[in-house]
Amino acid sequence: MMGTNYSQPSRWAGHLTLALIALVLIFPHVVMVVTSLKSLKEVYTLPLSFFPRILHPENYIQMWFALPLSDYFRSSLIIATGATTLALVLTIPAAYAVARKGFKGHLALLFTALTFQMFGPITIIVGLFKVMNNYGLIDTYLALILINAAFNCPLMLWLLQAYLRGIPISMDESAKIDGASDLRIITSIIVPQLKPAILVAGSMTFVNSWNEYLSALTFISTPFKKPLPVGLTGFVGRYQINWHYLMGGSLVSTIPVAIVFFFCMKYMIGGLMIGSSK
Amino acid sequence: MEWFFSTSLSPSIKKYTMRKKELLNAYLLVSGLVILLGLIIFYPTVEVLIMSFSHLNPMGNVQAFAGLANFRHLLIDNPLFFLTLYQTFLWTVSMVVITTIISLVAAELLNRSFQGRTLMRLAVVLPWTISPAILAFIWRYIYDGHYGLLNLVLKNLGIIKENISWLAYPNTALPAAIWVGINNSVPFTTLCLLGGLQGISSEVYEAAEIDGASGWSRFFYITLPLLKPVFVVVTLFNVILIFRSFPIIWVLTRGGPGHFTEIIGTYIYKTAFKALDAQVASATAIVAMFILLTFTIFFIKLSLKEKL
Amino acid sequence: MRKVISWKLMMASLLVGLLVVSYGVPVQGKVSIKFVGMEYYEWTGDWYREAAAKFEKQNPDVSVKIEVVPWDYAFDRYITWIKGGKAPDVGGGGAKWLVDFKNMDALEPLNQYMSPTFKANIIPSLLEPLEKEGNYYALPFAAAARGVFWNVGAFKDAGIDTFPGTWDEFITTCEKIKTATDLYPYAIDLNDHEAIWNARPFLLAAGGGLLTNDKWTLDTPENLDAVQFITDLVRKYQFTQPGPTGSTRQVIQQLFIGEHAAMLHETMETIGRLAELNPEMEYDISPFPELRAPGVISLIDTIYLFKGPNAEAGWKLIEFLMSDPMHLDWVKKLSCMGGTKSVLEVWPTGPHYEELSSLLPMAKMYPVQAGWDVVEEEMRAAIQLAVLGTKTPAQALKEAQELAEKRLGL
Repeated sequence: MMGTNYSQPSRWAGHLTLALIALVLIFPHVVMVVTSLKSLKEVYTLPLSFFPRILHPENYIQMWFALPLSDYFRSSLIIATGATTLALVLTIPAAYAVARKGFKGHLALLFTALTFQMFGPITIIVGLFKVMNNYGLIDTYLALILINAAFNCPLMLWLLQAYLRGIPISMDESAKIDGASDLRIITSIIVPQLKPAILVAGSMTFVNSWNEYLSALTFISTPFKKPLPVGLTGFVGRYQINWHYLMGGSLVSTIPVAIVFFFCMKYMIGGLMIGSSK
Repeated sequence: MEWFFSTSLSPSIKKYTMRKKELLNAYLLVSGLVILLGLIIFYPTVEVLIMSFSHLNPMGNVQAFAGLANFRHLLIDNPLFFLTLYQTFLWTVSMVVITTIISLVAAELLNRSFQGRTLMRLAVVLPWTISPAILAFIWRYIYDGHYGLLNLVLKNLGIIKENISWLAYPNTALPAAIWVGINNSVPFTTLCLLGGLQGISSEVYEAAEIDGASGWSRFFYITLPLLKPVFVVVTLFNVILIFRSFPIIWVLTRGGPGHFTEIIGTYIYKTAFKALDAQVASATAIVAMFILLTFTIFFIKLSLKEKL
Repeated sequence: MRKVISWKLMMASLLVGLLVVSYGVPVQGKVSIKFVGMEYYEWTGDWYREAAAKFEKQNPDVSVKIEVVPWDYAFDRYITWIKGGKAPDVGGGGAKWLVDFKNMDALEPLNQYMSPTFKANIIPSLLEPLEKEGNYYALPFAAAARGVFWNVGAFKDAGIDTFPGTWDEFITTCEKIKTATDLYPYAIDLNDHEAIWNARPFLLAAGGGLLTNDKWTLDTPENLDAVQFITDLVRKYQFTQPGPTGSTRQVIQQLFIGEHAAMLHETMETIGRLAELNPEMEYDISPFPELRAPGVISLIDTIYLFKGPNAEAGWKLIEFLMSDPMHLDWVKKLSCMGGTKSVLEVWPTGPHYEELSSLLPMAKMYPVQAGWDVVEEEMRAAIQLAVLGTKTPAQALKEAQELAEKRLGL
């Protein structure tokens, strides 16, 4: 895998291709940076220039006053952490039950859950709206926390239970003999061993919830409760779009996700291999 | 990453008859999850099913049984729906194919060791940090016919001479939207494939090298077949995700110009919230769910087959 | 043991915290009404809040909660609220929303609240579209007539002194501008919801329209003339900016302001934008060229009184906002025309403004009728398809009529 021999030209071709792909993929980020540093007038001046003629770093301060960005950040944080926590709290015991007990109906649960996740919010949005209305949860953080948790749980369940199967049962067997309850086993033995999988599944849920748009659009109307993807669209005015603020706000909104990814990426690719039963 | 797709009962579970107490205990452990899914997904699905077969009053409550009337209205009276379905398939197939090719190349290249690899991996993952809705906004700006940066870049590179209003014409709007989707899907796909590649032990390659296999044939005859499980599962996963996509088209074009970028997700949303036609929106949703269900069954069958 | 207890406690406190945050704490006290205002600009939120403060001073037994909503999502929000039983007491918005709000039985009819003097003060042509079954369900909160802004300097360079009055003259004018300058002669938005306001002048000037005798009529010979003309402007003559189906209102405004387009069909607010962004530009405003009839359109935004326990207090707020000092201040800042005769007498004044306000008498509002959204969407799609060359105008209009009727179940 690593260190297999490739000829010199093949190496260069590989590097070039990868560089090209990377360049194309970071293009939106580059656009965010250059546009956020322009004045609005320059954004709408022809002929265009890619880079700002004069830098306006003060945009990064002014944008916080143009829209209640800090409110949007707080909203996103509440929803993302709430959904991730809820998902983990509900899924870890379930994964334990599925992987360890193999109880009647566990496969049915896995597949049904996965099918539900595949439907996605858009297909059931009409029903979801009605149901949330009945629960009185329109325009609440709780609604989004529940929705995001529900649509990330199945995959999380799949991930956790599969990872758990690769962990030898010996440790929790001995704890069982000692008379420990399931809850005790879960918290003191299972969770620590599941850490890589929890990080991966948890970070994916966090990111999906942070970036989720449709449910936020449908269920939140109070301005200060809007999470970032919906709130940032407020920069679209009737006569002009404040692109400079929108780009700056977007860039800043990706920072928490980037941090989460930075810490979890190695688990996502390599670290998981260590715990699997190979 | 193979453990991810393993559903077979591994030897770590002892087969023993469960006592009633143990069974109840297991059910208790999964109860929280089941309740959440039941309330948030199952119950609304049933509502949608009911609504699709009903006439609704303006407040959205069921008035009468409508039989197949809503479906008839959707499928027979409405030429828009088939255009939407066709475009959704175009959208899905092209995006999945192109994303997979790019991701496969990227994953293979990122699998090799070289200086700055972590940086490259970060660069490839970067678009995943942006919400698809925000990404679409950024591209809306880039694609603008008069003030957008894409025209600027392409003109400077000499690729085009005149400005193109990318989102104004049917034959450029959908490809432009698909490109944004590819932007969005490549990071996840690359990471999955990379994980799969790392699961292939180096001994296999060394043995092939000893046998004199060249780089390309190594790739085609060893890497790809061994990658197949992960590959198939990720591809199907993408198909399902992309089929029911909403934010990108919604922010970019809202389905225009002239319905030429309408996909099933935007069609459902428009019908439900703009035309306030919950019954037809439900019927559309049922059709979409049916298609998604087919894909999901396929997905489950294939992932089981690869493992058992 | 300690580990398990604190984990449970953490879980519990997190759930409690989430519940508290999402439900909030109720406010006790006097009558509290909620006003939802549209976000026209960054300052409109502050204006609403200052107005509410003034109102509260005059009416100490009422407290007003303000919520500002961007136009993009306002209608969705209203529907969500009404369906959820959380409708505000007073709200601003688009005129056409009247149909849906009334269908959901969310609006208070206003005859019982309006005094004779109040009612007589509202401009009749602006009040008339808001009447249903003998009662009124909204009031004009802001109004505008649209005219064609034209770049005098560019016209001079092309050797033109006066603005064309007929469609033939219009073609000649565009030709001259295209040859003599590098400006696009006529900027048009055929992209989104603005498209219909860009198209209606053509429809009206050709003697057509969308509603005839209470029936939706898209496919008429007059409308065909109009759509053919628009198609020719874009495809045959290329008198518009390229890619009009992708140009939004923001874009064509900027093109005109930046002197890359010579003509723009717009409202009063543009006068303010020009003064701010390009004060040296010499321009004039004229009515849309006629084929068989005037092509001047008006648009209004409305204010609604929603059904609820505090409707009386809500009406007081509306009366307050429509009173001379408040309404005048509002429309002045918004740079648009008022809905009352008393305000129209004193505002707008000044060059350019008077050119536009003089057009209001012959301006036609769009029909506030059930099915407008579908008709608008199909008409827009028809024009887009014709302009893109996918269908001929005749084909497009015929199919638009059929599709609209099918979708509306007619």
